[in-house]
Amino acid sequence: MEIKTYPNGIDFYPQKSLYSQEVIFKCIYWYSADYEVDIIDHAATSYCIRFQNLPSNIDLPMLITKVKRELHDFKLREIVQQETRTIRDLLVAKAFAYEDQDEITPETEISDPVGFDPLSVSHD
Amino acid sequence: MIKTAETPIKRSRKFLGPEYFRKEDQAYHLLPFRFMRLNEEKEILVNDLGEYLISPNGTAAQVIRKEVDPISQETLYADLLSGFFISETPIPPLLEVMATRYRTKKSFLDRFTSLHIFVITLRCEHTCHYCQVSRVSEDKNAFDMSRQHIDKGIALMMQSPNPHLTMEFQGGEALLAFDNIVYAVEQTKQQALLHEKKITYVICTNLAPITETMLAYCKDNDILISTSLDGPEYVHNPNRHKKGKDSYQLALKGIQQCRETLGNDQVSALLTTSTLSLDYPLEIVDEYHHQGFNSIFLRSISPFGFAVRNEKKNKYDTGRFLEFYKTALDRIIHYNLDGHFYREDYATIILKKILTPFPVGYVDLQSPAGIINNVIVFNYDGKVYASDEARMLAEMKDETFLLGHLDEHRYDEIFYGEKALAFTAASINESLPGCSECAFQPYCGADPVFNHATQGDIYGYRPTSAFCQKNMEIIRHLFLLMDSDKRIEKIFHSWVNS
Repeated sequence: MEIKTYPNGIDFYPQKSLYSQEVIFKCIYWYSADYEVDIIDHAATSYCIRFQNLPSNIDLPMLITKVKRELHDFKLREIVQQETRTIRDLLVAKAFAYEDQDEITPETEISDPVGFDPLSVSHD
Repeated sequence: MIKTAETPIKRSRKFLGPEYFRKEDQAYHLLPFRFMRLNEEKEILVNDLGEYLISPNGTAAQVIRKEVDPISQETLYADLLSGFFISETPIPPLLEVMATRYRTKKSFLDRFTSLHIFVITLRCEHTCHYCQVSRVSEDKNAFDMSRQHIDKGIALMMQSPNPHLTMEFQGGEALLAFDNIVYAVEQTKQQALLHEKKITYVICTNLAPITETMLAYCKDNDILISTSLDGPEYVHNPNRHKKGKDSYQLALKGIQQCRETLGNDQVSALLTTSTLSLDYPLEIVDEYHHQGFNSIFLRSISPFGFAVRNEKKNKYDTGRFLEFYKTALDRIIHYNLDGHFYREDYATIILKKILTPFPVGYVDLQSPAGIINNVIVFNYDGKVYASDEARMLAEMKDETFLLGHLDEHRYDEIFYGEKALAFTAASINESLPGCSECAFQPYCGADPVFNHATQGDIYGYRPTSAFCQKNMEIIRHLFLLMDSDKRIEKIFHSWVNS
């Protein structure tokens, strides 16, 4: 990721092919209380995250490491969210599909590694 | 024996190794989970069922990139599978079990409002500097709940779908209107029979006005007593100002009387942590232990009503409270390590959500939050508020959370009205900015009243939220404690299972 520093400021240029707008906004949300920060649709291939009016005593290497690490984390979270969206919807739908029933009996396949089918056992 | 073609091969009944069951090139599938760093070494993965996995930093990335090897990383792989973080099939075979567990986590919603707070009077003989609502007055007509409003409040309470209701009398000093409490209990007993409700009665009191007659009535009707103890005398009395400066002595005397008449388990004490209290974490913990309590609730002060008006005395920053909390919790843990059972209640609420499949009915740590669907407040003047904090806010002339009036509105207008729906939308942390990606979401909650009071917005802004800062740090601290010392994890289990 390209980074440019200048007096009292720093620009990060995350590539659009790697980071979605959602990832950028979710990441920068947590910086918005402590920093003056803008997200700019900079070019066809990248955004610009601009930190301005930084205090003179700021630990810039620390800020760079933190922003990079959190962009990476939010990208990973996006992957989980995208891959599991259907399962999540299914889970919630199933959970509340039984709201009129007092008892829920989970139904799962039963298997046994020693080789007999427990469902075939007669209880007579 | 020489094997021949006819000799049957002897089949072993031993379990085969995991490599036997693994299909070639079988990649696992991700299930929904969130993750965050606990410190420079460890991170935590948490899913919607409340299952968690503490592991070295970088594990989540490895899991998500599908680089966890089931053979060489057998333990991690098995933990991920059994904790429902990954699945070997696109649809997990135990989806029904997962759904049941998710529903169990949200089962506090099943029965709707249980806690009904009746502000029976605003009159009080104390002038606590952090008190939001009380009035030193003899004027019963101005500050006591009318019988008509008591009747209407009971009628609304009986309409709750919940068969188990708690009727809590608050003040001011509730015992100053004891005749009204007796009236309310007698009316409720009749109505409860009619509507097949089981009622738990609670009186919140500083115990200063308690008499033998009152205690006898409480015993006859199984009424629980919730009182206040702010620590040793030199903390309690400055916090709870009263003419004669005898609040501490009266509280101790009252606690003793209650224990003798009602039984030890029928009286509990609550701590309010003022700025003064922050200097005495060890002394406060010791005081509760010396007074025979086996639990303490380390509550931060509410940013409502007179509490924030008296800014110099009470508006401490969250960092100071967290320092106080950790010091006090450490002391409590040491009591346990020395063989005493001594529980911290806020930690226990969170730990129940972490260590058990069950939800906890605590208003601020639920999603959706417990306002309205768990608690409702009938104020002394007939106004109905979404929570106790909401009526405190109203004392600052902010009626945002006023839901209606006992004289004017029906049950459905109050509990399912437009305001109730708007507050509910802001009280679901699954969909709040900053919360939706947070690994601690299943253990945390949402508090639109707090957000409104502190940030002027019911949805809130997490980067500067004291609610977020406090809960994130306490939850993180509890996980690190459990991870650092198995004896502490065992103590936490004992708190949850007690």
